[in-house]
Amino acid sequence: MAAIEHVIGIDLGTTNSVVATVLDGEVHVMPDEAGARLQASMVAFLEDGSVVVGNGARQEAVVDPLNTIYSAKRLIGRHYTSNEVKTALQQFPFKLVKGKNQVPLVEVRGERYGLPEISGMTLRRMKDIAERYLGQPVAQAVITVPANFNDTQRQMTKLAGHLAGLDVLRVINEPTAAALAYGYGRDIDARIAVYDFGGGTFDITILQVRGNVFEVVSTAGDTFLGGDDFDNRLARYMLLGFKQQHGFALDHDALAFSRLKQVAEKLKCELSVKDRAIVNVRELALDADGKPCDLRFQVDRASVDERCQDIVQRSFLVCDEALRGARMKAEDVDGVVLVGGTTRMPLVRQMVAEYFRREPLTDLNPDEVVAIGAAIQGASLVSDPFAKGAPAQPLLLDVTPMSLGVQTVSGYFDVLIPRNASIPCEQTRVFTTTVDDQTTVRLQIYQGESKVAADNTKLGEIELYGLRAAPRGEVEIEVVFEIDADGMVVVTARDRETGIEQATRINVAAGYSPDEVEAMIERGI
Amino acid sequence: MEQKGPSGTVPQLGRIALKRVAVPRAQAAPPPPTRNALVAEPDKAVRKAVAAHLPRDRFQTWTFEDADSAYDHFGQNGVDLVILGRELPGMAGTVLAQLMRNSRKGSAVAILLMSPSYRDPYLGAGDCNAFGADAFLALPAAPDVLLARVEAALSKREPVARLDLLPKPLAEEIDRLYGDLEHLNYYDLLALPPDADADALQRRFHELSLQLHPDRHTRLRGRAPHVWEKINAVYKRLSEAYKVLVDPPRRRSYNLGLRRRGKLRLEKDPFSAREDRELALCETDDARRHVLESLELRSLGDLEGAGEAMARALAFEPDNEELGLVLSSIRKLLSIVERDG
Repeated sequence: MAAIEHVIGIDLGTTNSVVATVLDGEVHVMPDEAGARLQASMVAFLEDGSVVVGNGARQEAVVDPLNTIYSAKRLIGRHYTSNEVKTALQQFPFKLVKGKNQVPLVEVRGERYGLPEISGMTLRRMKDIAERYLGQPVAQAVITVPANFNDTQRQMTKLAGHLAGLDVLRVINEPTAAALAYGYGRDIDARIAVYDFGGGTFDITILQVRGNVFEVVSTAGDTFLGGDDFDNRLARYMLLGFKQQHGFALDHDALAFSRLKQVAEKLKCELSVKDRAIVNVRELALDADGKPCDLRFQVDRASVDERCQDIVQRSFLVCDEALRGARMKAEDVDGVVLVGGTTRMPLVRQMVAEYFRREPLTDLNPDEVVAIGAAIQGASLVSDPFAKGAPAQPLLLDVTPMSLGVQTVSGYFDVLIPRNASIPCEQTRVFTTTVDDQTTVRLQIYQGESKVAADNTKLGEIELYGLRAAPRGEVEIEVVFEIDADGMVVVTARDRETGIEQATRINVAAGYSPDEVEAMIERGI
Repeated sequence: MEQKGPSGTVPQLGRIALKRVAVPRAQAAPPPPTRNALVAEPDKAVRKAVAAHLPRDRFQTWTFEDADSAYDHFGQNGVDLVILGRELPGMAGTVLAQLMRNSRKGSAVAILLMSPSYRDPYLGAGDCNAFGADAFLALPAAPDVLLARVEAALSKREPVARLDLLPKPLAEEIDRLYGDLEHLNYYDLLALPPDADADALQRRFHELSLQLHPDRHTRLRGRAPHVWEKINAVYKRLSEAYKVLVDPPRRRSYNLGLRRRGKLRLEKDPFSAREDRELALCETDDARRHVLESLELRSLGDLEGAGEAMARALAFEPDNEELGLVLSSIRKLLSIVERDG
């Protein structure tokens, strides 16, 4: 008998990654050779040309920050001009350059790498850990992404898996994976809310779980709400402390503020386990006489909580929206699952419990819950549920988190597939020529919720070319916009009258051409 | 295409050029399933050659030179395979293909469309599917190419129940739903009464999803692509039906279209000239924002909400008479809908 093929589930995190698989009906989180279940999502390029990936790269980040790449997930699939890349250019010690087609590239030791290559190295490391643990090669994987990842980010994540030598069976949303980890095998009939508060984004997903069916009823998010907001708030609090201590303000000192933000992040974590903390920052600024001033700041959790309550409150506005979409009230939720580092804050836990009027579920390790869900989904995708005696497998009914549409002549956003539409799904729309003998029609494809197309994320441009020459309005092109089970966009078009498939050219913004992908595969990672 | 002299004469019955190819049934071995084939092509040489190349032990072939007679025959007899010329007297082959496909018997029939390659340069590669057709044949073509295309077309329409891939009842359910996809309304599709509530809808949809979600059939993707495509088509429509019916405003709008115009699906109108016009009426961004909201709610069938949003827009531009007219027309429509229940 041939060895059983294992599908691995990978939580490809911003900071850490986890890999899991199902063995004999049980989920195993697979540790590395040192016994570590969490791997740093970091890649260090050493002087001798070798590459260290995972926890081994962590110490390189301290001694050689220029050549150690981290947080690739924040940048993958983004435009070079996006806010995330701008922030990274200021904050990250490693070098980012602009590639073709608005793609950001990492430049390290004179070589340029795409973000999918960097993420691919982390995925390759997770694959190696799994192969060592299982004692056999692994070829198939399910990879998780944040619910708010757009089409480009998903495509690039899939490409990263491909570069790592993995057949990516599915890209699934992290909150959905978490719900699966909690609900699978418990035979429940319940409504579950997954409250996912990360470093830079917040999202909430509401699921109806019935036996083995996990239906995402609605999802909502705020891509500008996250742990960073607490850090900013704390840093400003420290500025206030500095003013009281030294009698002058530092409000416009960007350098001092960025130092304080780093301190604030540590302080936040400290206050999650202690009631009070003391911070010392040496030589934060110079006074009027040019004398260096230190900051000595003593703070207790209660006063920080008071100053940060409104940030948590903002997350509940998003929860309200998701509940409205699900036609539910907060108290209708039967279980709350917490995901993301920010949910470690006692303030967040307490306020979530008050909002939903129930204690959040915490019996699974929050670091591992997403990978566990991915592994369960992976096993389900390769099983035959109709075979005799097959164990019951879970089924995920997921939705698309963002509306998909095209730009109208006047610049507005014409929604084709609204957000929260269940996937896979499709929508057909007819486009026509506006000028006599027009032979091409261009469609600008966007994803987002703004009524103005330009305020959304541009996915790309579709060009219908080689149209038959005819008076304007006579050529009607039927375009089918499909969102597949991975949440990715597929577009096909055909001439309505002749029924002939219409040639299309898709230019993906911030994406790679087939040649570039080919080159990446050739080079290997 | 090389022409071989077909056996037998072609009796002329009025306009109908009908040719019956005798199929001797094998006595010993169980006979392979005989399929009924229909060839419609005005060019006599092409018509005869195509008919002659269809193996007689598998096909009983009928030939026609125009669209009307072919369609009549199709409507009155069971046909498994249709081969159509690009241009037929009376109707374009593409139009006839769509007509056949959309008819009651249409989903099970394999349709092959033929066209001289110079006429359709984009079909030159021969792998483009024409609307309603399952395969395309660029003329001139060698006999083996013809037969390959015939097989390709037939395999796409092969009933799932005839393949030993899935439990029989499930396979039959897939065939039934796929066959009736364009003829069932959302309620019939989900096999639920018109007064089914949200809970009943969800339970039914979950039941169906466990059977028909593409994730339950990933093995078929490579093994039986046409079955995989059928399952996808069926599932997408089921989930469309569920998502509309579970949302009260969209369900109201769907019910209205179904009752008044027999519309089986809820279609969102594209962002139209009307929408651009209404936005152009606004002078302030505030009003524009609310007009957009109103337009969106109207597209979802929520006239009440649309009226309220329009009233909010008007609050920013109280003197805008044109906007006032839009609001009163929404209210008028709302009263009609409410009166009709």
